[in-house]
Amino acid sequence: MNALGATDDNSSTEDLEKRILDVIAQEAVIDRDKLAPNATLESLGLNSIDVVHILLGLEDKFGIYIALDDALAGIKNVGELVTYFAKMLGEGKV
Amino acid sequence: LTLSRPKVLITGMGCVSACGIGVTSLWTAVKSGRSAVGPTQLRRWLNHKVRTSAQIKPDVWQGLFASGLPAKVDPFTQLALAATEEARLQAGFGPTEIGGSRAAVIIGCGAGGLSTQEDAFVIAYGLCETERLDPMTIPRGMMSAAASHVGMKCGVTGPTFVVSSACASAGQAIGVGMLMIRSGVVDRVIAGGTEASLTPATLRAWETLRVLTPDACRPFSVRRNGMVLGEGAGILVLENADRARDRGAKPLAELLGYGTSSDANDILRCDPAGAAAAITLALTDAGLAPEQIDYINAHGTGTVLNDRSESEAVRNAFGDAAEHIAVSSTKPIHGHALGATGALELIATVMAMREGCVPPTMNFIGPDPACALDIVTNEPRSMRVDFALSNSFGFGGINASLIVGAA
Repeated sequence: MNALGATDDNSSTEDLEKRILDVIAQEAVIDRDKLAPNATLESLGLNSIDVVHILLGLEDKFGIYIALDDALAGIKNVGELVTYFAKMLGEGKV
Repeated sequence: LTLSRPKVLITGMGCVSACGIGVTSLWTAVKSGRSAVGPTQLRRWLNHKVRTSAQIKPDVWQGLFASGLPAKVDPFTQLALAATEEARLQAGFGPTEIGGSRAAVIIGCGAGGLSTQEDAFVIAYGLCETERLDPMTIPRGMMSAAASHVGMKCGVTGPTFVVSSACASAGQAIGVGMLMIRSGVVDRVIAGGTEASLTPATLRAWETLRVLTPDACRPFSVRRNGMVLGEGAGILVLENADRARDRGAKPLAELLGYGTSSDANDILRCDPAGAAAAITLALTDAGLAPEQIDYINAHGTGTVLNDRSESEAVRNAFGDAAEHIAVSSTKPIHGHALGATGALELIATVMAMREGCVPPTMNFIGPDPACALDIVTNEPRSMRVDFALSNSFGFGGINASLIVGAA
């Protein structure tokens, strides 16, 4: 079991990534269909305030505080963003 | 024809911070890298995730009250009063001798009496058993309360006001004080900043902005992830040099330059061009060449963006000279005291100059290529400091830089 109470198999990873994408779509008000892994944050018009809203959405949903650090600030596309969040959620940050 | 302008001296300094009461407490902690960051104590816990800050400890408050601090004013005013008392004593003024119509009180503050306001909101919204609001809620909570109480205590009948420009407040208050002395409006100014904003709702609001670190504040370092909040007050007595000499005062330093600018760009994101402009204006005002500055006490919050932007600003303002300037941020020790931070840091800067010791940037784990400056990391550096600069940059893109030199 990890911090989210899910087992660590592929299906739960996929499920987690879907839930993260739901949060991104809702908080940044972006069409879910546009959130392709290779879509750049810039092309989606996703700025730092949107990222703050996404982090708050993740906190509401998963009870976890993810800080805005240089790794997160350096992320360029949706795929990297989802992978990063999934890793942080798996580690149960704060 | 250039008219000579009065020199402005710093003749007294006082502070209260998470490091304790007094300049000695602050400087001892800052130069030895002993952080005052610890578990936050709150009367009410909300859904907080970040539970550390550089908070003034209960025994410090008790010590302040035992020495006669009034209990019926907001903490941000209490801190300003305590810091003023120390600064006044060091400057060698009697209790009201410092006042009069040729004196001013100019205090920086970002948020005002938040404890008072939050207590009132809790009562007004029916969230506790008490129903009656404190009738002193307005005069306790108003932003100018600290300046007014300091003025009353010291008998100041000259200009008295608060400068509020987020984290640049104290830097601007001190700068404006210097300009008022130069212009001849007053002979002396009680200048600085105060902030006591570690209240439950405010802390939670800071959290949601995602600028607070969940682990450690490490300015200019790789893997930095935010700032740590602090609180406190720093007060400096600024004086017209001729008047100070007339009364035989012993100056601590000369306040040489002030530069301020606004990015006119973004309410949160800082613009290196604006910060560089403030630094350059301060250098011009002080009549110094870039290579004459030995030490920069950086704003250095520990957020990804601030430190990157400040590094770029310093490189742009100083050019090649930036290679040879020691830079440090003392915020991992005393926390980011917001509207007071510029005063605490100017006090640390003056002490660094007087003692020939540049305080370290703690929690540094490795250089960030985006912050390519001579960062003094983890250990203090003994070196001669003739001229030093202190930066303060606030939300809203307001920038203030101050330069001090030996008196």
